Amino acid sequence: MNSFTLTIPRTIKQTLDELGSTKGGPARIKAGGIDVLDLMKEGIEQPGRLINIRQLDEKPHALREISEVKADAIPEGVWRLLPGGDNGNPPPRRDCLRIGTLTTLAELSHSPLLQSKAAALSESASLIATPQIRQVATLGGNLLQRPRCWYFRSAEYPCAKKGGSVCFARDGENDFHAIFDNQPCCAVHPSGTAVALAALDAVLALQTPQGERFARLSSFLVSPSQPGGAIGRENRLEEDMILKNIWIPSPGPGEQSLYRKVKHKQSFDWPLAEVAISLRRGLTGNKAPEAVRIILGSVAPVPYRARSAEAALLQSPSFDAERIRKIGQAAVSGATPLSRNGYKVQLVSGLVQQAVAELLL
Amino acid sequence: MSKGDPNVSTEGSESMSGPDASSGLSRRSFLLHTGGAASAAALLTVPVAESVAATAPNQAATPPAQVLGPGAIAATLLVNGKPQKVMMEPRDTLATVLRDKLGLTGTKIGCDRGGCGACTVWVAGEPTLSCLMLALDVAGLPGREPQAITTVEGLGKGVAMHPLQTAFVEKDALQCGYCTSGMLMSCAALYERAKAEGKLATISDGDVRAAIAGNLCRCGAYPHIVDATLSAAKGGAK
Repeated sequence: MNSFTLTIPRTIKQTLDELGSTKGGPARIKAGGIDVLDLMKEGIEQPGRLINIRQLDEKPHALREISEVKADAIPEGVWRLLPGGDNGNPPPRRDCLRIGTLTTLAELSHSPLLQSKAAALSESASLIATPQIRQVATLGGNLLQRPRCWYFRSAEYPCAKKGGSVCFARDGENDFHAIFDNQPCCAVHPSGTAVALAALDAVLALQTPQGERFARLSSFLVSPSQPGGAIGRENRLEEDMILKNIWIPSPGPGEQSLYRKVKHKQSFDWPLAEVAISLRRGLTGNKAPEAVRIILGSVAPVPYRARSAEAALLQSPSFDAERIRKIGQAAVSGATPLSRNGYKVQLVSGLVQQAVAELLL
Repeated sequence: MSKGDPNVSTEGSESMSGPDASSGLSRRSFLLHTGGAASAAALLTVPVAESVAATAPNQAATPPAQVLGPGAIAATLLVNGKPQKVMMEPRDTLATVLRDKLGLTGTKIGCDRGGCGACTVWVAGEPTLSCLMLALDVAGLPGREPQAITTVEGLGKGVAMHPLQTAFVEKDALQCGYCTSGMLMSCAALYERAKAEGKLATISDGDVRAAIAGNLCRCGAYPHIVDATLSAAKGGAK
């Protein structure tokens, strides 16, 4: 690992001041450190300064907290980005869950509040990595970690994501790479919590030197092919910002969510495929689905919203094995698998069917 | 606890105290005496923590950000109940400081990337990977108490082994032994947590498998490791 200066700020303001300072070279934020230290050991990143926010917990920002906030106390920037607004009208105010980005994955897994009100998030956190890593790894770090493409992670391959000109995975060992949106980079997004949070319509609170900013997770994460995207990055976090809290609308009546992951090795492993679904069902009659998000993970450079599958689900008058099979097929429509990952098409289709069946049968 | 407290000893500090270490000739002490002079010297010349470029916390105003390194600074690690001042660079991981500076070589480094669990120690009682933890993250600094680190050397009390260690021997829960200290730390944490909750008798096969999900054993001793943990739990529950 390269030599560096470790700065320990005591406030968010000090953190931003340190980020903005150019003295001592470029700085990198470290929280749990799981991904940053891995990247530094490989020589992929060699920051001269690490800004260690691991112990930062400044009231009232609640960087390490899971709480429920009443509708009338939700910041305007958050509720305007919640779902449900249309034709220029803002969405209705509603209670929200607020999660500090320094909350550990173990805390997300064990939180009774999340288990009951954001099951997809707590399930995704509980399936990430190992008990030891979940003890230290933070929600913010999980969202902002760099992709696991082995060409990107090896200093010996000057791949396009690292500023080179070639994607080595495209014609190489691409078994675990993207089956959607896989040009010019086919690395998949590495965050399990991002898949769950996308299904839960999460809004991010970011602190910048100019003040607090808010963004939907679905627009914050950006693939190289999308407007504002770039091959060298996975999100819109600027160098002078930090990710502070995540807001999720609390579930209303008839709303539920789940997260499912397929992995090769069952004790712990990176996912082969993931799905998170949030669903709102009617409260009367046959309780027909009224709204749904189906988000696929480990299939694209960012969590992938399977809109065709959502439409198929909402249009289905009733649910049986055949109709659920059609939803699974719709989930992978338009897939463009690479030379070695065609199996993912079948796998994702099956995973979506399994998850939909769990929710609706 | 003062320096030289006869009730407190660590294998490492003894073996690094000089050529008269009384533990006889082992592979470890031979290597230390022939090649480990530099790290031994580092341990013996520890400047005081106050020389660190940091400002003491002020009750009234927010103190400035602490800036440490990039060179080595002195900080206190609380290892197996004993506070020890050690010189460490910001880039030093807890695993390397435990092994190379404190001589606590029971903690192993396998992949050094968080993938194998060999380096598992307890931080505040919870199994944690020492290879992905900066030593300064758990060290005491001006204005901050050190976090309690427990390594495999601190699992038992003196010569009395922890019930898990005894069970690992009885159930032949290892072959090459490289994963053993990490396995022990994960299994013993499960044991201690259940013991504190009075639930030792209810530890299941699945609980043990979940507890060691982050520890790889390439010899494949898993069934015996699970057996040993269940056996220790059964014994402890009596």
